[in-house]
Amino acid sequence: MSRALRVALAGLLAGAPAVAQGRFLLDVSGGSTRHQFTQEGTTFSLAPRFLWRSPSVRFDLGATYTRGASFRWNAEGGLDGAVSKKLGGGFSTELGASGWWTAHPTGRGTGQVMVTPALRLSRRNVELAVEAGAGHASTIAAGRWFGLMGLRGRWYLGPIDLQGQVRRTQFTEQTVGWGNFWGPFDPRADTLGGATADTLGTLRQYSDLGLTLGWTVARTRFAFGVEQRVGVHDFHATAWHAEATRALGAEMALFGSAGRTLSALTAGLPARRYMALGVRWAPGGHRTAGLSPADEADGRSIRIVRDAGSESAGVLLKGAGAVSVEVKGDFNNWEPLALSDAGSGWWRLPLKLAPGLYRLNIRYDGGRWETPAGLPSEEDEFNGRVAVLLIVP
Amino acid sequence: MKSFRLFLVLSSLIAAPLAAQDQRLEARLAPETAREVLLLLDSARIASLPTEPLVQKALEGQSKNAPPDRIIGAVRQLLGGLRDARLALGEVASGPELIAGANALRAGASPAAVSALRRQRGREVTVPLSVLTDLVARGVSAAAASHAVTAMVGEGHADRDFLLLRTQVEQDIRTGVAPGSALDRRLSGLPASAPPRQP
Repeated sequence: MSRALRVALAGLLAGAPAVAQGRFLLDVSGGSTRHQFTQEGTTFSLAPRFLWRSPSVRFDLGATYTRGASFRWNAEGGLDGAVSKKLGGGFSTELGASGWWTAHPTGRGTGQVMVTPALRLSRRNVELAVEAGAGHASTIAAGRWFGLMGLRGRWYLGPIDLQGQVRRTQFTEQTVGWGNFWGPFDPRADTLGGATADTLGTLRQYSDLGLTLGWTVARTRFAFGVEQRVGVHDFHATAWHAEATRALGAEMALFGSAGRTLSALTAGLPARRYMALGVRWAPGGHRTAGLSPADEADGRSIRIVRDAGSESAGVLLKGAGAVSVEVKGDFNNWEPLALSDAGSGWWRLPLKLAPGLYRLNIRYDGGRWETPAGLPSEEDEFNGRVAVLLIVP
Repeated sequence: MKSFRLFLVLSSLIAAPLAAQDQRLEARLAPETAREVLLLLDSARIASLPTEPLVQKALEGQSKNAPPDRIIGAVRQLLGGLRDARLALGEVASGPELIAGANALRAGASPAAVSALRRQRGREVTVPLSVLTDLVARGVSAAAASHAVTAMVGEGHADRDFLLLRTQVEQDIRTGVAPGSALDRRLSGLPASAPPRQP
């Protein structure tokens, strides 16, 4: 096993904030995409994606290469990420950033960058975030600044998770530039309903409301989402997306999706209808939904720290506000052992633990022996509980 | 992935010198209690079962001020668990595997399920058994955890798949998902969901 994999596994197993999690996915898909008045016919897409997560930083780096029938090729690359900081009480701040760029065979490109600070609240099975952001889009014919405000939430209910979002976007300028590239595309006919060209010129403010329901049953996940855009002059447009993903063994999955998007008004890209069928390859196993924001915001209570080239691990336990922290377990014959203060509320076990399964109890400031939060525990045979700690190579 | 060598430390502990065990027990336990525990250790040794877990169980009881009969009872119960694990896993089972088996049985896995795991996999099941125990400790029912681990062994998953499953169930539970639902969700083994992006 490679050293990197060991470290990643150790981090995963310990829920260690000090160790990050990186996963690679590759989607190979084929399908049909239709922009308004622009039939592309059958397309073939290749989309590698790398997700990286730590408790305070996450990013999603991806690219898509598409070969289509009516225009030869299209390559798009993008990065979406965020840095977060826990504030306590379930609150955390987050600074998100995203950017992408699309290259076309014409030699032209479109792109967009955006920064979104947010305040997030994570409570049990609910996550809520308020965000405000700003960005700049570079389209075929124009560049424009935009700002946004939004509220998003996620609710976990057993195998079902529900995501909702409301976002208000405003332009500082409006230029209809996509006609240069998209030929006879007329945005009014697709995303603007019955709006007139004059209305289009004033559509500098609009709200998007989205709701997505995910449901996992057996080895299949279904997701369905709808999105509604509302603007001035009774403007409205609706989008939807449906997908199903079926695991095929440990590293492969089959997915199918279909839907209709809203136009990306800030970037000057039209709405489209699509359907696709593809295969996803995730080496190392595809159980990689990634850490949820609640995971990232959650204050972990244990950290596993390794020195390069060593399988033994150091252990830090959270004890914010404590004057002394002691631990005892089957790694030291159940004799109380004082931990050293490692700063920032963390306490260091003065022993390195080799890979294995350990049982332990902890006490703060000479109080009663208990099990540290964040570690699984079980009843011992002595009318108490004992924590279980698994250290892997 | 290479073998995890997950419980090498326990293997080394199993081979701890008897004298050292005696010293630890005699120094910490009442003489009568120590004598009873040493008899149980002898039984384990004769049966080629690991003895260090028994020593640690006795020391745990002493450190928690348990009465002598409860300490002896806990050690005896663990010895019984190791014997049951031997029956379930077979004579070829390693020391760490026996300990993991005893833990899984104590967590509520049936001997038949433990036997089936070993038989299906045809090699060491220390990691699957440890993950089973861990899942139960996190609140998953013993039946559900046993079923999940058995199904994964049947599908030929590697040790790292069990470890990832365990980690991600933990993550879900922290977000408030019920343990059973978290296991069901993660067992479906689904990749991150993202619609294919089109120009």
